[in-house]
Amino acid sequence: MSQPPIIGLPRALLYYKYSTLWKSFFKSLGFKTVVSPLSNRQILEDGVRAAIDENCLALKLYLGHVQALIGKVDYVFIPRIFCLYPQETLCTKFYALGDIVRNTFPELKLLEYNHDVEQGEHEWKGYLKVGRELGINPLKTIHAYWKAKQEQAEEEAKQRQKQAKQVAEVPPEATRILVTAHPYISYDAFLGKSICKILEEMDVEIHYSDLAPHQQARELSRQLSSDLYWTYNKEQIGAIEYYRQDIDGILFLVAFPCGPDALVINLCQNQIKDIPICVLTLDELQGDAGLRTRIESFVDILRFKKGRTI
Amino acid sequence: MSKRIVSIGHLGNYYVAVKPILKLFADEIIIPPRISRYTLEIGNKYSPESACIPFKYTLGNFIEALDKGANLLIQLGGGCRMGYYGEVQRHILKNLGYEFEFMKLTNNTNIIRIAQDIKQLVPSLSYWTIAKQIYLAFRKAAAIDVIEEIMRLNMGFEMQQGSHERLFKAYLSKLDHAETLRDVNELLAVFQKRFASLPLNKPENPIRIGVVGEIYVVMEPFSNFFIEKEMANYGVEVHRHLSATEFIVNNLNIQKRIKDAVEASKPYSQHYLGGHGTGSVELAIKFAREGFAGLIHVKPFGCMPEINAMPALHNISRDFNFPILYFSFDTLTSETGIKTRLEAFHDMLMMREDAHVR
Repeated sequence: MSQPPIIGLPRALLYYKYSTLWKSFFKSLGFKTVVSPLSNRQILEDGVRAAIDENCLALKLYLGHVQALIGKVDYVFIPRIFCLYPQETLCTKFYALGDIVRNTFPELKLLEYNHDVEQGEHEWKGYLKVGRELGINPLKTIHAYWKAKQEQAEEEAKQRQKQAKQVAEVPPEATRILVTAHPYISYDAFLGKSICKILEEMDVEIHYSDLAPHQQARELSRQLSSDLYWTYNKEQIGAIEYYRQDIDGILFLVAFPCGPDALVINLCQNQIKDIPICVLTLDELQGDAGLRTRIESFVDILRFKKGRTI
Repeated sequence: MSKRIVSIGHLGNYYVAVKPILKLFADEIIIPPRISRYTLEIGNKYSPESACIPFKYTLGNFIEALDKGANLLIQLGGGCRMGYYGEVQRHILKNLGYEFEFMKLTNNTNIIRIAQDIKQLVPSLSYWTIAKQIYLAFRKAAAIDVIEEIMRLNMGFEMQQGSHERLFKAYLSKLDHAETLRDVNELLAVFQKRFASLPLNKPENPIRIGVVGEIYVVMEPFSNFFIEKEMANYGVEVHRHLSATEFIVNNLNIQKRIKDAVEASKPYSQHYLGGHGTGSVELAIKFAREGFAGLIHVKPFGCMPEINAMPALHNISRDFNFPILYFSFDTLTSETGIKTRLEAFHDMLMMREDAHVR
C-alpha cells in the first residue's frame, strides 16, 4: 500500500484560530500534517514576491507560508470561511484564499471546503467533503471531526481561563494593555510576538482581545457599533467593551492595508474617549527601532496618566 | 418638524435618476456639486487614511451637501466594506459638528425595504405612488445607461469633435425634467434617433476594449480620470457591461447571479470573491473569448474583492494572450501618469493589431 498523503497547514491567518481542530482531525484519520515554520524574513519575502502588491501584510505572509510547504506535502489544506453567523461575514480575503493560491501556485493540490451557514454549508459538511476526497469512510470522518471539535473547544476554554485568571490577579499598580488585533497578527512570530515581547520587557500586563469570552464580546460589540458585520472585528471591539474597566490602554495592531480594520479603528477612535489608544500599522518595511520608540512612549503616557513615576 | 433637505452622493449621472424617489419625501433636494479635486481633498482630510477612495469621495460629497444646508443624507452600499461606510461616516460627520439624519440603504438592499422606509418617513403616501416613482427612477437610470452605451461605442469615431457630448448634455437636462414614464420613453426614442444621425467614421471591425473593475470607480468618471472618454478618443469601442441597470436587475436575485458568475469564472475562480470581483473575472473571460483587443481593470487602492480577482486575471491574460492594463486609484494618483499609460497601452494594442498577433 502506498503511503497516506501528507497534509500541509500554512501557519498563518485561520491557523491561529483553528490549529487544534485541524491537527487533531487529520491525526485521528491517520494522516501526517506538516505545519510551515514560524514566520521569518524569508517567508515574508517569498510572500511579498508571490502576492499582488496591494494585498494586506497578513495575506502576503500566508502566501509565503504556502510556498514554504511546496515539495514537502501532497495537499495544502485551505478552508474557505464565508459566514459563521447569519447576517455576518468575514473579510473578503477569506473568501478567496483558495482561488488566490490556485492561481498563484498552479502546481499545488488543494484540500478545500466551504463554510457558509447562510447557504446551509455547515462546518461538518465541509469536513465530510474533505474526508470523502481523501477516501475515508464518512462515519470515521464524522467521529474524527467531533473529537477534533471537542479538543478545539477545550483548548480555547483553557486559553480563555488563563487570561481570565490573569486579569483577576493582576496587581492594581500594573500597567495593563489590551492588544486588539486579529490572532494571526498578535500571535505571529514575526509581527505581534515581537511587539508583545517589547511590552513584556517593560513589565506591561498584556490582555489579548481574542481571549475575551466569546458570546459576551459579540453582544457587547453592539454598544460600539450597530452595523458591524465582520465576525472577527465584532469579537475585537466586543473585547474592548468587556475589558473596559480592566485596562489602561488599547493597542491596535493592524496589517497594512487591512480593509475592515481601517474603518473599525476609525470608529473606535471616534467613540472611545476615555481610554488612550495607540494604532501600530505593520508593513513589510517595518523597522524595529521605530516600533520600539512608539511603544515605549505609549507605555510612558499610560504610566504617567496612572500617576506613577516612570 | 423641520424641513427635510435631502442629499445623496454622486455616482456618474445617476443623480438625475434618483430624484423621483427623493421627491417623495424631500421638501428640498440638494444635489452636491459635481465631484472635483476639492471634493476629494475635503473627503480625504476627514477619512481614515487607508479607507478606499469611494469612501473619501462620498464623504466629500456629504460635506459639500451639508455645507449647503442638507439635513438628511442617503448612503447606498454593500458587498464589501461599502456596507460599513454609513456608520463610520456618520460618526465622522457628527464629530465635525454637523446636525443631520442618515438614511442607510446598505446590505440586503431591496426595493420592498426602500418602499417601507419611505412609507415610514411619509405615512400619507400610498405604496402605489411609491412603487410608481421607484419604477420611474429605474426607467430613468436604464435610459441613461442606453445612451451612455451608445456614447462609449461611437464617441471615438465622431466626425465633428464633441458632437456626442453636446447631445448627451442636452439629453440629460431634458431627462431631468421628464415627469412621467411616457416622457422618459419618448425622450429616449427621440434621442436614440438623434444619436444615430450623428455623422460617424467607423470602420467595419473597430478595435474593442473592455473596462471592468470595482463598481464605483467604473461608474464615476471623475474617479477614473475619464478613462472611457480618453480611450474612446483614440478611436476604439469601449465596452463596459457594468451599469446601474445591470446592478439593480442582478440584485433582484443576488444569489442566483453570484452562482452564475462563479460558474462562468471557472476554472480561474471557483468561489465568490466578494463585491464585484467575480464579475470582473467573468467579464474578462467573456471579453477575451469574444476577441477584444484588450482590457482595462480599475479599482480603488486596497480594494479587497478586486485584488482577490487579480491573480485570476493574470492567468486569463496569459492563457488567452490578452493584454490587461491595471489601474489603482488613490488620492495621489496623477492624471498625467494615467494618460501616459493609456497612450502606451493603446499604441501596444495597435502594434499587435498590425502584426496580427491575434
